[in-house]
Amino acid sequence: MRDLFRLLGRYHMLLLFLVAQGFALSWFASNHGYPRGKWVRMHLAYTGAVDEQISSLTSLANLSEENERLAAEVADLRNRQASSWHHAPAQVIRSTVDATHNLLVLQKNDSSGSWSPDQGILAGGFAAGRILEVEGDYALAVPMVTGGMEWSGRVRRDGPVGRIRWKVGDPSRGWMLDVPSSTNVFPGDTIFTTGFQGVFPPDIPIGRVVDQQGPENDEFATLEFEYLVDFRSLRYVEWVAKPEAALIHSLLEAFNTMSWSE
Amino acid sequence: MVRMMGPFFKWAAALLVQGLVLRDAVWFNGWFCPSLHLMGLLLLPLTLSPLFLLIIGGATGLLLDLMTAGGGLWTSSGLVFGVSLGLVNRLLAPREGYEVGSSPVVGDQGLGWFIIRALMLLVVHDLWRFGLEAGRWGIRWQTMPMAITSALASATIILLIHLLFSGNRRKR
Repeated sequence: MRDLFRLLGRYHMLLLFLVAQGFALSWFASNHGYPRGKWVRMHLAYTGAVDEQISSLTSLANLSEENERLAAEVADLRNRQASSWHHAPAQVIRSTVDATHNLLVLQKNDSSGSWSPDQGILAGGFAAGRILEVEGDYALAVPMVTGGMEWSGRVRRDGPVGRIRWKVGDPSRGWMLDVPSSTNVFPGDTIFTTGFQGVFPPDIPIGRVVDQQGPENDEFATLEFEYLVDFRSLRYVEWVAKPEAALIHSLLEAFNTMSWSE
Repeated sequence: MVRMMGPFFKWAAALLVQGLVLRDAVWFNGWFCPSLHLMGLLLLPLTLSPLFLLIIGGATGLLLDLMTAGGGLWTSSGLVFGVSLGLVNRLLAPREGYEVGSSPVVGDQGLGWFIIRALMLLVVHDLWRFGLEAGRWGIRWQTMPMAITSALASATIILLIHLLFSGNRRKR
């Protein structure tokens, strides 16, 4: 024990430097997308070496590049469709699903255009969340599975509109509120976006109905549905922007500033 | 007391200039990213212990990170600078050691000593900093010449500022 203290005393400078440098580098890695990814890859490579699976990890790295390329291609194809919405790929570099208020941190390519708050996030063509803040190529977003937020949804493409909330605590389920009881809803029916909030294009699938709740003689029913996005495994997403959003916003502003005679 | 605290005032001033004025300074397309805060560390007394230099180097980087949201980049580079400062001071020390109260200034140690020491330390610092920062873009090796030019330019500016403000002392 005494020898250990003597050793620590002799190399205290080196030890202090290594410990402090370790903190500094982990701080740096946790703040920057690339080192963070690099650290994860290094860890994977190490485990892979131990398990003699380096070759499979290399192919995984190639798959990652392929995924990025495919995500960009999918966004490009969507842009070429008749839709007036702009689609661009982004990568999820941080996400939470187990908190009440969950978040996503996204990173986009330099060349994919500029994003701004209140734009929608799609994953695999399904509605996934909404951008809150942007800083350069990084954006803070909320997934649909976050408490205290409401989204607009429609049962089937031609059904009634209702409010959508997350079933807090279960990252795979949500509620659709205020659905008229007169509507015929069946398990398996799809819930789509309405496009009314300006966040998503209309008719983007959100989830599938699994149950209808509330007394039968009530005017409105509550639907329990399953999200189509697996929020636990989000990695490649698209952000969508409506080029004329500023025009629509100015129209809404004009409406809000109108004086109404009672 | 004032004479003893002088280097620490200079350290604080250099840190504030870097953190508040030059925080995002990237000039000549990245060929010159000034590190003026290191001037404060370069002018610290030569008789300070290597442990103290390591700690103040890390603290300088930490404060700069907090001012510029550097996310650990400056702390890491500051630690490297702090540990190198102790090593370089020992490397360049006369055989009988530094005299008590001797300062790392041109007037006491000579122009050549000052330039060589500043260059060695700034090159080490900037190579580490650029390597760390550029690593995330996968262009680490391409930025090495930029680290060298930045170190050269920072050393030149530090020398000019030092000569400008130490004029009275030299005359005396």
